[in-house]
Amino acid sequence: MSADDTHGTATMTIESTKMTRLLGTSFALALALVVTGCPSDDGTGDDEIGETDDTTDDTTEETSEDTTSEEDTTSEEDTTSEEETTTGEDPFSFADNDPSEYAQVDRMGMPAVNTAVITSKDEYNADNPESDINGDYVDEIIANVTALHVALDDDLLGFSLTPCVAADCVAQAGPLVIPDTLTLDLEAAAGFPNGRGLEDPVMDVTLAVVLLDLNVHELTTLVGVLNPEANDVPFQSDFPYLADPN
Amino acid sequence: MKRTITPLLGLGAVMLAVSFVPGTATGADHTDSPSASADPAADISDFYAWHDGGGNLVLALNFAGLTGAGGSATYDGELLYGIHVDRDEDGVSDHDFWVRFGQNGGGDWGVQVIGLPGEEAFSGPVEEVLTSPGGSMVYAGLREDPFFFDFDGFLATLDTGTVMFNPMNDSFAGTNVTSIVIETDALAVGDGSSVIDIWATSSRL
Repeated sequence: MSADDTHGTATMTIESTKMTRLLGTSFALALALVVTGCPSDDGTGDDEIGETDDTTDDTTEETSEDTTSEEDTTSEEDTTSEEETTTGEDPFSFADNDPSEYAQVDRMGMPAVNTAVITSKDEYNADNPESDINGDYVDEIIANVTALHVALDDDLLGFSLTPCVAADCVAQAGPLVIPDTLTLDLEAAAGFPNGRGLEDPVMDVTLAVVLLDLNVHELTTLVGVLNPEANDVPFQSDFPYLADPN
Repeated sequence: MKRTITPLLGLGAVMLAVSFVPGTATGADHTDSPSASADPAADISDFYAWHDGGGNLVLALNFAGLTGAGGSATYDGELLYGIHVDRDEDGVSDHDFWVRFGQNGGGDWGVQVIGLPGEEAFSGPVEEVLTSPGGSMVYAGLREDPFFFDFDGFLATLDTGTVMFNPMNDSFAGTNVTSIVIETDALAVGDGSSVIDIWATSSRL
């Protein structure tokens, strides 16, 4: 169903203490589907920083009169990127601080996850998908999905829609929202939840996954029922695709 | 601004006015946290990633949502935008795109992208389609908000516990975002992995 099914194919080793704490009882099956990462290699974190360092070093080396911070520089002898932009006269000056010097304010993968099913919002935004896979937010996601159903199931039934029961909802939604990333299979057809395109009706699809019994309904059952089916203005056929501003 | 919400499919007769304050609500990631909402330049409204079937990967990171018609883009030199690619499903980034804004002596804004596959840092003016030496494309600037969603109805539903969406209401019609759009080689980003997990971050110095 979702692109995140690919996560399920990897056999995983689960840290037993963490999982035992999280599992409780009735959500065991669901969580087996939810927590699918392999908490193994941390080497990539170093690579990541190394990558950035290399870039910074390279560019720094190329500057003749290097200064330590970009605030100190004026428009002529400047840091990193000016050699790319300058074809002469008035180069742009960019901060060249290492990414580790910045404090993460926000993050986003899937649409509306934080808004709809996360309680510890600031902490979540400062965190990363590795923590999602680790199960750090599973409890509050389950609590919020459950609360949505307590509130909305009567309405759904009133519209002749079949809500999913709690464990099924978590099993359906878990792979979609954990980890909170867009999963893109480059060899499969594009279209949410395989990546996210500008024209994809992401909210109605996501709401169907969270709210409806997908043994009864389609992923697209709510499209155009709850929300608009398309943007108010057409997108551009060429890069950068988004329409001109209002 | 106040907007009137009509209940889904005409159920009930309840009309609810929802406070909808421009500048504090943004896109699919809206009201995601108090800290992010207080910092529009850092408040990611939406993130898109798709492949076009022709070998290209397109990434679009939007922020500073609900900028009104005729408004200006939001550039901040102390922010670092990241687009992260996990190639082995462990939640740890294996490749980062880093994007910054900076000014020249004349006060014009430029955008810099680090991490285009196989390329050095690449930069150029905002509000222009830029093509890197390696053939990637970059754009940063004000765009129409591509997100379509009855956000008013969503909030009302969460607030009231009653399904109150209106498919005729696109809460983001007529508004703008500041957008960073990158188009680059999909296989190079995957680097041997055909399935990748992608997410966006904003960070402040």
